Amino acid sequence: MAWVFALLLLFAPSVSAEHAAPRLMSDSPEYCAELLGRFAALGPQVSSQSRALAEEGRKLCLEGQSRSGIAKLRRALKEAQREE
Amino acid sequence: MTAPAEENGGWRDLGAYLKSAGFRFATLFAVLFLAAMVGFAFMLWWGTAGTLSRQIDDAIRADALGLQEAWRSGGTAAVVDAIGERLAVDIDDHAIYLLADSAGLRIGGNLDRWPAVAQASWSWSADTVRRDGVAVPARMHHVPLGQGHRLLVGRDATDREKLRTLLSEALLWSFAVAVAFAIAGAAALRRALGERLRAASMTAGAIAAGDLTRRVPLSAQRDEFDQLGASMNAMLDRIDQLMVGIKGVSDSIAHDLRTPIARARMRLENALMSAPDEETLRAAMETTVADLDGISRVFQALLRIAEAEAGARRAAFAPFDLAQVLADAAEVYGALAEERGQHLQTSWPDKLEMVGDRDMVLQAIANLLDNAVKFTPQGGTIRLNASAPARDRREISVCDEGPGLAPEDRARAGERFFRADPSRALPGSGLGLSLVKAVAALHGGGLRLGDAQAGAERTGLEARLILSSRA
Ligand SMILES: Nc1ncnc2c1ncn2[C@@H]1O[C@H](COP(=O)(O)OP(=O)(O)OP(=O)(O)O)[C@@H](O)[C@H]1O
Ligand SMILES: [Mg+2]
Repeated sequence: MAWVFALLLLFAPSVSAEHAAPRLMSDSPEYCAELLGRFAALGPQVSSQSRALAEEGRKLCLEGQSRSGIAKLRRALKEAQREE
Repeated sequence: MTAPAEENGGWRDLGAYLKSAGFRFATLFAVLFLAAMVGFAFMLWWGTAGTLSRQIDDAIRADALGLQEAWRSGGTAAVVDAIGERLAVDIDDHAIYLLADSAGLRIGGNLDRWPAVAQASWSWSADTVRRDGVAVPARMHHVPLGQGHRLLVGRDATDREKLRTLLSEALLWSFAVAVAFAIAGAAALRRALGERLRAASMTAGAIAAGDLTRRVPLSAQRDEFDQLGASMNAMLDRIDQLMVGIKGVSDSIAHDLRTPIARARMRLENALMSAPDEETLRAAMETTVADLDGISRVFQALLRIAEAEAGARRAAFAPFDLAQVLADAAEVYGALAEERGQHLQTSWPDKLEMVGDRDMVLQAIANLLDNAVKFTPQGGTIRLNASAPARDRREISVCDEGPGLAPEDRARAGERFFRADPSRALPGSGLGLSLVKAVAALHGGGLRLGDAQAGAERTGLEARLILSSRA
């Protein structure tokens, strides 16, 4: 029967609630700003589609929804990268 | 009954149960079933969660190699640039990067500090990072870059953990179901085994209790249990046959030897009481000695028949030449026939090899010739022929010119003490053909009686003894 418990331990998700865990910084308003800066640096030749995505992202960031905003901005950047 | 004794009995029952074949088979079944289940779970895990893990690790490794390349070509700045570019287009938001200097301070990437567990150089670790204050699992790979700089590349492993949790829950449930099935299946197997064996053990019990007519009931499945049952039944039939044989001998002794013994006793008593002179007394005693010789011959014949029927002599089978045996018999009975004005004609191949009991076969041939000589009138001819009609078959036929046997008597001619009505006047005890039949059966053959010359006034009798030449 011991192996059943071993199996249970093996299958159990390894979540340890450590408070000193490092923090991810790529969902902060600062990162929003960084991405906006990156987008701006691309210059005027980006398509209207990615520009629209970036604009949506900027709005979401301003509304405080950094994560959604960042996701939009990333898609805008990816779109622009793809066009090049 | 006292409590300890009861408990003792309980333990003994449990011990017997654990030792039973049914329990062992059932356990084997359960173990095999569960082993198959574990194998299945392992394959499933390896194919899903395992594959996902490997994919994540491959992506991380490729990522890290690319950044190491950037480090070699452009140093810190190039790595920071590359990380920035990668993070900027990370739509899934799974990527984790950290470039730290020799003091462990962050230079670039999206992690605020070096994780505590990722200390060893060039290794992998699983850890948690905080995203919006929530701890999420992460898979991380750390690489030393030179000049004390360290790079950490990782992926958010939330999806993988979710899959793992889901899978382990599903597997645990199916494992529980499998255990239930294994136990139920094992119990059913044990029960079925017990059920199938019960018929045989009940029959054996009934027979041990004295009911010899009982047989193991066979099912239509014709499986191993039925084979066991069939061989048990064959064994019981054989035992039954032997019992009948023994009973036959004792019955014969009881019934058919009582009369001659009583007659001999009467004769002696009469002579003792009323013999007028010594001469008469002597004559009576001589007759009685002859009677007793006859009784002892009958005894011997009965015992031989019983011996042949029991098949115990099969162990003494040996190869011999049947032609030689026929020659021996013909020599004795040829002289006897000559004395009675009869003629014995013989014909058989030079060699007739076979495996069997030589003495028994000689006795059987002698009995047939004895009958032929006894029933054939003066001047008649007796023919003794033998042949090998097939590779493992030997046939010996004795034909005479006597009165023959009515068809209804032929069937009974092999019974002990049977003598057809017309031959009552002739000497004999009715045991000769019984022995011939028993010897034939012992050698896997039989005895056939028929007309020697069908349609003739005197049909004569043809006795055909068939033997298998192999043991
Ligand atoms: N060759 C034969 N011709 C006619 N009848 C026969 C012949 N052989 C056997 N029988 C019949 O079958 C009966 C049984 O024969 P079997 O040899 O068993 O006994 P038996 O010859 O009478 O006595 P035993 O052989 O014991 O001295 C005989 O009594 C006779 O009626
Ligand atoms: Mg006879």
